[in-house]
Amino acid sequence: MEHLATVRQKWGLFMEHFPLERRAAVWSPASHPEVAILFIFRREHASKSQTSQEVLSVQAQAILAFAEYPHIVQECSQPDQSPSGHLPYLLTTCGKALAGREILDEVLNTTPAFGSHLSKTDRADALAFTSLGESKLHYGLIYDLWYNPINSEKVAFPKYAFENPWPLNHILPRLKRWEQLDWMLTQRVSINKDEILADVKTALAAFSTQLDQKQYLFGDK
Amino acid sequence: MGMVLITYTLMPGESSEYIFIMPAGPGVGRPACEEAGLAALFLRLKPAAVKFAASALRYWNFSFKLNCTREMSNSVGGSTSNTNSTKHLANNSNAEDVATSGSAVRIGAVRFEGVGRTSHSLLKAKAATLLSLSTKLSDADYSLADASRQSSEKLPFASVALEAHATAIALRQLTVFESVDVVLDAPAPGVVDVVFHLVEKPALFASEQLAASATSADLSVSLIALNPSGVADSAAISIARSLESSTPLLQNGPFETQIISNVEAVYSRPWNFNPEKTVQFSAAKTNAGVDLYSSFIQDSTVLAAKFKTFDHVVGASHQFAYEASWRRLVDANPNASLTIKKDAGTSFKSSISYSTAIDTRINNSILSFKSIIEAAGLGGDIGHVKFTANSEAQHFLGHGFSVSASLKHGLLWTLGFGPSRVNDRFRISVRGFKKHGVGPKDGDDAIGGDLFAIGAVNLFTPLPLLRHDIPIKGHLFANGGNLVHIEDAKTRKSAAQRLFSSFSGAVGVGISLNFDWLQGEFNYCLPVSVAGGDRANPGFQFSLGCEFV
Repeated sequence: MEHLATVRQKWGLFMEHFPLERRAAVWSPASHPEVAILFIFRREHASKSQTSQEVLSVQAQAILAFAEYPHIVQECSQPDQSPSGHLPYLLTTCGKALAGREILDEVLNTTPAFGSHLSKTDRADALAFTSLGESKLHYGLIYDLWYNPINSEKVAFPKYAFENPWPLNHILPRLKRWEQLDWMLTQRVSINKDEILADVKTALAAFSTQLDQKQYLFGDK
Repeated sequence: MGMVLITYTLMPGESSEYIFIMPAGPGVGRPACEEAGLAALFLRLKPAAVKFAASALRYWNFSFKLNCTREMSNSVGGSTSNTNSTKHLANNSNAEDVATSGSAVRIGAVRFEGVGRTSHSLLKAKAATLLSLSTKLSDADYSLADASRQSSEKLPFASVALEAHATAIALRQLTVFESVDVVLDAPAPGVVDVVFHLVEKPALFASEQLAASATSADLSVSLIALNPSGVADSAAISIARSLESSTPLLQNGPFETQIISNVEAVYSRPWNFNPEKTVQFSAAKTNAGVDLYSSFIQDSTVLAAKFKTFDHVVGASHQFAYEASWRRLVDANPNASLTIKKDAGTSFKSSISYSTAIDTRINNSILSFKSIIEAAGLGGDIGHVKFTANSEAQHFLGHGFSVSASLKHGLLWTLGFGPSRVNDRFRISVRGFKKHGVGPKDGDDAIGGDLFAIGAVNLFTPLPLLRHDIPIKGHLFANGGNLVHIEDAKTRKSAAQRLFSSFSGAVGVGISLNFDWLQGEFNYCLPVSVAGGDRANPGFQFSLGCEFV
């Protein structure tokens, strides 16, 4: 046993000489961004408009803009780059990619006072109108854009096929359509056109009344 | 009429130039021989023809034995006519005339027996020369235009036998027959019927391949339909699964894994019934996890069309291919590096490629060269030229010793389509380092490179107590490689300089197995030169692969 231990020790001393040469890395990656980058679904006209054509991307843009979170906006056509598989996603200065609720959490962590100027009533209104928008307006938009075959072919498909080569420009929008229809069926038991359009009308009426009574949707500044 | 079974026996290494044709069976062949005048006959072929026949037939696992005149006369025995024929031909000094010797005969019919799935058009194509000389073909149209020529055309028996033999070899090369036997029947004086007895291979069979190493296990199962359309084609469906672990499989403790699964359907058929020219169509769906080394998973759907051919001038195989692949790269790890995230998403690659492989033997050396060049950009959003070459040389030193050297290099040039993507770049593995352990890294992720070179030198030695011809050898090696990433035109200029400025290398010793059905290595590796980011792996490494049919 002692002999074995001696051999092991000598072998360890021998192995300490290896490797004989250590060199610098053959390549160095780019450093993390100096300013956070928000990757959004593409805009209608990049030079003329600022907001994305997709609802979730516009939401994120609005949150970051109102919170005055330092960031730049870049368009992205690959949702797979996002940790959640959906746009938008935020690339922070630490090199971390955030998506969905994580973006809001990041804003709140960076700007704790964000929204603190709202009164309790304003907060309640904000919650109500946000829920109304998400459950009825957003659903109605997805229905109109993707469920209707003529709209999907003429409006939605060209938007989502814009940067893809043939045949992906035919395949990917159709896959996206199936994805959207599946999502719609997870939100409601059945897809009823009259019911959906009635909900949209109700929601728009509520937003219209709110904006009629106040200068801003929430708060007064 | 009796049947005369012609058997050829050609023993490798013997220098005799005679092929012995003998009657089949006692009491059957000899009377038939005497009646038809087809006694034991010697054909003296030119040396080149004998060698070619010997090598071709040896490849297809025929066993042949060359007998000289004296052996034939001893084996035939007391038949006077046979002995007389033997003596007559043994005394025949006009060797060049032997190929034209024998009675002048007419080919009466060409028959194929044992045909199941094989189509008649294939058989007719392979026996075209014989058919053009025959007066009647079973199951075929009888051409009046040929009748007048054929009815008067007589051939020496030897040339008929040689043509039948050549046709049998051509049928055997199609790889859809277990055996192809030729029988020359004599239904009437001066008439020979050529009968091919075919035994087709099973219509359906399966093959399995299993490979394992310290950290991975690969299993592939294929179901193959042979000759489904009767034109020597084949259709196969294969399913493959590969599991790789971050730690040795037999080691307890936490570990991470990546899985590669592949389903592929392949259809191939000879071009114009020529087995050396093959057309192949394939469709494959692959889900390849590279998350252990590069934090991404690639899902791809590939359609390909290939044309393969063999060139006898230089002895090289060539392949021309078109491939359309839809790839989707998703980063499996939330901590994936920015370089990987940037390349995530879908892409479509449409490319043509040319590959060639040459294997040759010169004296005691085996040389092989393989290269592939791919041009992508015929549609799709991927555009590049990708070139890879692999050269190997092995020299046998005698007494069981051999030395081999290999060099592999490649270049990916994006032709102004922007920087290359991580799923198109090269990733290299070198003994003494972990898989994909050499090359550019972003954090823990191997991002691949656009220019690489790997070299290795191996010495194989005999092992004590084992015969030299047993393919279990001692193995000493030194290998090294480098991989560089080209980001733009500026870095392209210095890429070659960076490639050759230094190599990551290792040396080692071990044992190698090189059976036809089992190959493997068991080595102790010692990295000697390491770059920043390289994942050196000193210590024992083993790999094993076997194939079952």
